[in-house]
Amino acid sequence: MELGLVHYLILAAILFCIGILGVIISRNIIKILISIEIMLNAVNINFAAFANFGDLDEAKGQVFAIFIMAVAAAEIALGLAILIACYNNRHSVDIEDYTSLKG
Amino acid sequence: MEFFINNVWIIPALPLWSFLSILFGRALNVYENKYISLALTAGSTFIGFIFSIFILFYCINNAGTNHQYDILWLDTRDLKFSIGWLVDNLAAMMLVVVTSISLLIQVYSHGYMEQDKGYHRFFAYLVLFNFSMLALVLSTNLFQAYIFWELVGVSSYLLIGFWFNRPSAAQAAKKAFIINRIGDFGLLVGILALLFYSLNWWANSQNTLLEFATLGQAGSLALVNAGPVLFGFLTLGLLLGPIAKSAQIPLHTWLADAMEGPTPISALIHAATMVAAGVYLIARLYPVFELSPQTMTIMAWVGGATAFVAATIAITQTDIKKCLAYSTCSQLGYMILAMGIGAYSAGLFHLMTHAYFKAMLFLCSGAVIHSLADQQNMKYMGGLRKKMPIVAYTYLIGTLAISGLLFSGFWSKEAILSSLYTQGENLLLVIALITAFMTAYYMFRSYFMTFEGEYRGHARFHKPSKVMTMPLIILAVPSAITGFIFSGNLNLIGIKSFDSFVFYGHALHEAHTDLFLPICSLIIALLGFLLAGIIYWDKLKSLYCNCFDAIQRYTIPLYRLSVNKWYFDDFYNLLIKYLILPISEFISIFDKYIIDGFVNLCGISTLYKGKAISLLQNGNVQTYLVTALLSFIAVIILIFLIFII
Amino acid sequence: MEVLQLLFFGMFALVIVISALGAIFCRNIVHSIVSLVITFLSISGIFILLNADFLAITQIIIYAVGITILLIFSVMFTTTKDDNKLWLAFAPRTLLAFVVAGSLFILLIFNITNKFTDFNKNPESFIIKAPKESTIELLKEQGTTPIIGKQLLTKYVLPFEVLSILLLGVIIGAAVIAKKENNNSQER
Repeated sequence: MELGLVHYLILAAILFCIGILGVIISRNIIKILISIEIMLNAVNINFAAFANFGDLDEAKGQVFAIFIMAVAAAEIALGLAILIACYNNRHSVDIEDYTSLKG
Repeated sequence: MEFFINNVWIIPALPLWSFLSILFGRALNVYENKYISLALTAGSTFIGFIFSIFILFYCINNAGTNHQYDILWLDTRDLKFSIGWLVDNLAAMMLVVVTSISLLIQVYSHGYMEQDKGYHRFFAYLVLFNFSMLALVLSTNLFQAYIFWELVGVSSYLLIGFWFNRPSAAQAAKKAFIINRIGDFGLLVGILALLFYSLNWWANSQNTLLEFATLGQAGSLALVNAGPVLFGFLTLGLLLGPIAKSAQIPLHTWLADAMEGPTPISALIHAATMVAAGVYLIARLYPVFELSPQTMTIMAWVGGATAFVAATIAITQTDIKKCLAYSTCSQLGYMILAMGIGAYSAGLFHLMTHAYFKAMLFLCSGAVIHSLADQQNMKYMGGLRKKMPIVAYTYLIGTLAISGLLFSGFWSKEAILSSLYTQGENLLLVIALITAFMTAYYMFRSYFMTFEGEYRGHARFHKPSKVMTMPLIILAVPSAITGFIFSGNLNLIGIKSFDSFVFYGHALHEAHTDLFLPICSLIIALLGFLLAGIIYWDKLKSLYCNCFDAIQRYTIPLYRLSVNKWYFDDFYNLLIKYLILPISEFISIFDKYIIDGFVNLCGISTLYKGKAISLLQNGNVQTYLVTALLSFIAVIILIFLIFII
Repeated sequence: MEVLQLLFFGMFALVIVISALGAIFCRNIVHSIVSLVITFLSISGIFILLNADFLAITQIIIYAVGITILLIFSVMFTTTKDDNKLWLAFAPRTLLAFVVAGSLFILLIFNITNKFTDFNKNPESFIIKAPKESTIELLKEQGTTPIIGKQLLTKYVLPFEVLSILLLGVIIGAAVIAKKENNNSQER
């Protein structure tokens, strides 16, 4: 059996779904951020896989993966900063405590 | 001259503008000064009066003037609704009558209402009425006429209930409005039925929908489409509107109660102009009515019956305004009667003359009531001629006129009677003559009770102001001479007689060569005068013996019938209590439990659906995410299904 | 060689899935962070399998080190004793989450297997060129780093600069947001 694009894509799909699962079922805000990181990594795998199997001359997928990493780092930094600011107000990392949007 | 004809819209537009000015001026506390309201009202009416005079002379000089201008309002492909103004001889005559009487009554109202708290409100209503009446007169089509017809009804309602903190006034206003609604319902059904049966004609002809000018052709088509029986009911429906507005039997009961309004209103609306709107609409719809002979006969008999019944009621009324109200009713009956037998010109002639002298009579009664501190009962009046001679003599002129003894009433009533005579309606002629006798009797009775003899009241008398007496004197002039001017014996203002000016079909001017009828009616009126004099004039009292007591004893049932207004109100009350209320209560069960139940079900189900959906909005971000993803997946699956299957 | 690749891929994939699941389902937040680190490291192994050596190194530097440190710091700032009770969300939503994730997964797999199974057999059907000989030589000698570097400084120079501004903004912003607010109490 030859290792092909499909395997990587399936791996990325599994990882992505795990990320979504984590985002939805977690109650700890830090865990939600962790899950988002997992989803971003799944996307990175996809990019790298396509770059490898389709576009090795220019490796655009890898360039994009680098951009994603940078943005992900920015996102996690800001997310945690906001988390800490919120924690200073409510002393809780439970997402159920942040429901002031309730309609 | 052309200017006035082309800008006739100014006549109703100015009162509308004044109405809005007074309304907002008061509501926004722009001014307090009463003279501003008066100036706005009377000024707008005065300009309208000037316009009307010029238009009247234009119409006199240019025979067959028929100036119509339509502004397109709604244009469906086939049918055109429009609003516009129509000036012909009839409209010109009505314009002059309405504006002149309104002007004088507005001046008079200033004196009458000066101490009232609702002065500005009163003038706002007054000018609103003026607007709607003038617009009704100038209407080009039945739809527009219906709109302003209702507006006239509304302003009448507002003015009857002007002193709304009096329960009786509020009741009277409601009664007038509801009874007019009955009539308007008939009118609306009639209009819609007429439209229904002649819709094709309007669509093909591309005329303005329901315009008066071509109503006759559409009506004859409707006659063909609907058949004579249905068409008869259609015209009866149309007739119901004027019957209610002009207070004819069986919808006449509101007019006497409407006397709860301020007296100037009684004079303006419930004697001179608004009640004449019914007759005016009959005149406008004459081409349609004419196609149904049965309806014309019914119209004539309704008019005759009203004239007779109202006169008998008026005989025993002791309230001076009620007495005048029933006499109005009776005179309107004359007009409808004349319309019904085909005496188109005679009916409108009587409308015009009656408007002047009845307005004057009401203003006189208003002056009396005002001077006696709101005393309306004639039993507590008497001997007022010496205290207020101007009012007494103008009242006398009005009395003579309405009795048909002298002045304008003689000529117009004479025209109706002679039409009856030439048409061969002998039974109606007899009724009309008896009514004329009774008219003379009760009018002189009221005159004698009010102005002659000794003062029987206790209220302190104070003289009416000049603002109130001047309109009386001015009104006395047309009351006295209009009949003579238009009688056909003079040629003062360019037309020989009224029926050569306002006529239907072709001018039919008959010379009154037969002197039998005028003399007969004069004698009858004189008899009425004498009878009233014998009974109520103290100077003649010594002449009669006590035999009247015996007569009185035998006529008690008749007396009761008259005093109780022929039990119309009691009959209606019983009807409502034992027939209409049970039925409506029965129907209301359906309304309450089925209709309301359904509506409430809708409301409640919406509420709970909303609550169910709002569970999603629990403020938790993850729930939103789940919802979004689920919808996303659903959309994807849907697209798959669409493209694969 | 093929077999070895497959073996490594299987191993990494297994570790990734297990540790990712662990990162999500661990009761203790520190455990899940550790699990996350393992995931990141394994993903960098996957990157190496994909001829993306630069990405693999960056992955380790940024994710396995930088982000992990951030996470651990924030855990230190925020964790209380009874944090362990924050495990799973309430039952209906957890159930729904499984439904959503499962159906999404099925959709993805459905799509992937439909479209990309014969990608390697005839790549011409996709509008993508096969790599040049020179590129393969370059890869063998120096890896993908020169290619990425060329791309970043020629074709993608504008996004690259924008990205640097973004990072600057994030540094300042994160500092401002996370700073303890004393201003409000003074104003009161």
